[in-house]
Amino acid sequence: MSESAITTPVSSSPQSRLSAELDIGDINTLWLTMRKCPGVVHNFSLQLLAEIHDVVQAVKERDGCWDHMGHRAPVHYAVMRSEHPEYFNLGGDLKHFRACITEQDWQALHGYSRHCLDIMYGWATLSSRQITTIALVQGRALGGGFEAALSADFLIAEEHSTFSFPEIMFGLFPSTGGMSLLSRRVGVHRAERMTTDRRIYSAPELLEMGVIDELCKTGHGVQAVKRFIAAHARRRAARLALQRSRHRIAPLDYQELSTVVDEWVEAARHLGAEELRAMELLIMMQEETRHDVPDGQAPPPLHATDAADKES
Amino acid sequence: MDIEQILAKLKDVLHEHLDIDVNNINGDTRVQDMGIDSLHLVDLILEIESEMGSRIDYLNLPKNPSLNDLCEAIGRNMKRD
Repeated sequence: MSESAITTPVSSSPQSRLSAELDIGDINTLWLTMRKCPGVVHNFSLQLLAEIHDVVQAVKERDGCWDHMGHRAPVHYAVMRSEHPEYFNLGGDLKHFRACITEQDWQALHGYSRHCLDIMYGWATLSSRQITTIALVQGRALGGGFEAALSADFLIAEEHSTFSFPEIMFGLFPSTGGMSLLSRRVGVHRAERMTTDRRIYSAPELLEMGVIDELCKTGHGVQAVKRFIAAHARRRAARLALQRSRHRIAPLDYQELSTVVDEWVEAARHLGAEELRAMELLIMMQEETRHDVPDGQAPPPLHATDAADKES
Repeated sequence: MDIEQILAKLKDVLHEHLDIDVNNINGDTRVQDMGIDSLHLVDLILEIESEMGSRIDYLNLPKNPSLNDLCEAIGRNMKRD
């Protein structure tokens, strides 16, 4: 059980999109929460990307540690979650895509996609050290949101969660490792179909397919992650050895991932009118999700869940 | 084109392009009850635009809109044209 937990916004801005909270105990867990900001689309904006990048870099530069109350504490588990009541993440910043395409600023579009890749790769390879990463999905994960969830060592989802790759609707495809990440879990042919079939997959369906590692009831995600960590930590040395083995057997090929980014930008240069119109409609829909959602509908904060754990 | 005419056109699109049995639906039917996810509304709107030759630039739809909600949104956009 944790002794203390400190929540710190990753940036000093009041509009910080990410908070970091370290649960200290025998096992230290770094919780990264994508914050629900009123009036802001819950997607991978440049700001959120920059904040995730800073966290991943900080952990890497401190050799797997996190600054905590004046000293460095080793991070054993890192959990990515969202406090938005409906979305884990809506994925790429389509408005930014459209602006780049309209202005034919292919360098900016490439830069965005490469930035996403570098962050995902950094997060996905954190576990080559002594950290196990977990994605907790408590809602809908679309496009880049789905990729972000797949890039963790373990994916835990609440039963109402849904996942989809909508990029094909506007003539593109996942560019932040979607194919590589899915292939490691379901094989390359099935991964290709899943990135092009426009389907919305339910969490139970993905559990059956082996994409999701654990399913839990709606509203019980944080407790499920804590239970998962407690069980995982009991034989941690052996599990870490197997984790490293998995990464050696099926490593993420950065060159391949980079090639996908290059081809994605090339595809974006040649989108037709109908594809751009589909992108516009998706932007309209992303924008409509900005409407404020009452706090009561958000997943419970970590400390509230701690209290529930103590009661049970 | 009034709301009734838009609804009739919408039913045609639902039947022809999404293979939905329109005999059991009416203006109050919500899109999720027809198995249409919010994400797939994009497909539906593209088809409507193609059929009606009118762009829908302002949606402002409630969550899980009814067909009447959609018809009103389409009607608003047609007036703007």
